[in-house]
Amino acid sequence: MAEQTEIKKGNISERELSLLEQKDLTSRDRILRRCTVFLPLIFTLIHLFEHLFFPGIKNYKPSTVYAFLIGLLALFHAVRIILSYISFRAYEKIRFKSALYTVIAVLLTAYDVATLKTGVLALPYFPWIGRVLDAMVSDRSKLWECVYHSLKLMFTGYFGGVSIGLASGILAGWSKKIHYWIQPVTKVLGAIPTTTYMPIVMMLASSLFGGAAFLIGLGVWFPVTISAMTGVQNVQKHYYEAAETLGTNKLGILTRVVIPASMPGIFTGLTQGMSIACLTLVVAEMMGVEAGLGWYINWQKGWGDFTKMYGAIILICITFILVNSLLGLIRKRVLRWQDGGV
Amino acid sequence: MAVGKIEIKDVSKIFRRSEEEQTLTALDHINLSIEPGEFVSIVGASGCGKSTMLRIIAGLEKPTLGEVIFDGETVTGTSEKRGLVFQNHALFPWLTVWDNILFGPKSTGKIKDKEKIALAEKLLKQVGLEKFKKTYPNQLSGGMSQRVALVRALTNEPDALLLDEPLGALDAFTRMSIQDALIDLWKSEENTMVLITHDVDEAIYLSQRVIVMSPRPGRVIEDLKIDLPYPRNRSDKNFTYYRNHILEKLDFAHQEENIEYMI
Repeated sequence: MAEQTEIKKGNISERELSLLEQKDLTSRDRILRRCTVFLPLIFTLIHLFEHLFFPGIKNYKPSTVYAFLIGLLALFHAVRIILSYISFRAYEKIRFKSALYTVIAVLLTAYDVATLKTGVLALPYFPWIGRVLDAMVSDRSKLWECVYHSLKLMFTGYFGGVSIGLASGILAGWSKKIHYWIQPVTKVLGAIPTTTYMPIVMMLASSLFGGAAFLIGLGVWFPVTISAMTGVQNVQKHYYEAAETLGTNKLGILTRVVIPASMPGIFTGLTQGMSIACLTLVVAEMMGVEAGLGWYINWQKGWGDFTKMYGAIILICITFILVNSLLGLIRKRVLRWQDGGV
Repeated sequence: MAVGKIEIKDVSKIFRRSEEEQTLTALDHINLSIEPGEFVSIVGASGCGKSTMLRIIAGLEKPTLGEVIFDGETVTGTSEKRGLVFQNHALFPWLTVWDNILFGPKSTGKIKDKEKIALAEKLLKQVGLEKFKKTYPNQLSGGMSQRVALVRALTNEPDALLLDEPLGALDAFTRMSIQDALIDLWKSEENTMVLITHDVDEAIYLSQRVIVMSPRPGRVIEDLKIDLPYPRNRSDKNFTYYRNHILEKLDFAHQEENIEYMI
């Protein structure tokens, strides 16, 4: 009844609205929902306990680095439980994610048991995560160097490709004459993955780094050009006309109307270009360049050190995820005007 | 000296048809003179070329024959002296309301002019949107967007403001309130106003003169002075007289069109 008097007042809080929407739930349902918030912490703690105190095969010791990370994860879940009591909105979000985090904890436990504790999945092909982490820590100076080298190569190629792609795409969308010359190039080169030219480029290039950067740039150039070109071509006519009648000159229309209006399209190209850059980078490093994470993976494979190889693979995944989320953040910031449409 | 005089001299506009050898005459020898500071409406059924006419005055399109003279100079292209408000408001979605309004002054190099900023503030307040400066157009309703578009066009202080069915897509209540805002803005800025509309009541309510056009080919069939004091009353006897008169003219144009089709 209290809830209905709230409605008469007109303004009700988000919490009250959610209570109203959930009024058909029984109290048992509500308790169950509350409990799900605790599951990730419980299962993470079980995993930590299992890793530290269950005996492993052949006297292999639990990894302190791994235990420390799992401990941090447990702390993270504990903080979320506290947050869920402070804010109602946070509670709903945390409850939504808890199933995922629980499953992750269970999978980590299962893998740890299958490798370190029972040896069902055997070395050298299936090292437990703790062992991979220990290997990464012991070889960290080499790995940092590789990360640095990979990022340097990727960004050299990426930014080169993006700047030339933006210039050629915007100009080709803007001017019919430039379009005439760029269109055939994109038609021919666009369909072929740039890694195809790798042998030629590596043979002709004066430095392996330069050759690989060129290939990455070429791969990035294509989607960026196409997306910028179509972005510019699809700018609605009334934006041009509005700017013209407001007294804007040609250059002003290009920089203040055409480019911002085609930004959503351009970002599609930038994202596509990023995944091509990641792909080309790994292939180039595995095939020719004698540095970077791709090279490290191949090198350790050659020595049969699968643990270190997995370490580098994990690192490469983390690097690519970080780079892509950085791009996502920039995109969100630049395109914030698209939010909150009515 | 008053500015904003528009002279349309013998203007015709003929379009190519995509799949036929015949051409389409959208405007047929139009002659019209609009005085500085005058509020003129052009009404007509769709397809009578009224929008084309406005676009020619703005300089967005060239007439096939004849010329438009604006304050003694032949119109050859667009100019910030002739502002245009579109039916779909055409606000730039990537700019906030305030940046949209200042787009014109930035283009004409008057962005540092304190009077400009003051004018923009005043106009925005006049349409009741001073609290929405930092809002993006995506978050505005259709009526609010159109008010911002009006302010954007007027901040440039055009000598003539051309309005291409700016209220056509709005609901009746919003339309009436923007009509009052429009009269208010016209009285305070004293510029020439040319309004394209298919709403006869709107034309009579707002303007000093109503031009009635017939379709295919577009011709002026009536040039009517509305001799009523502002603010006007839509149910007034004289208002009804003007409405009936214009509707009769439009109906006549319509019948003639039907006869043409029957032959």
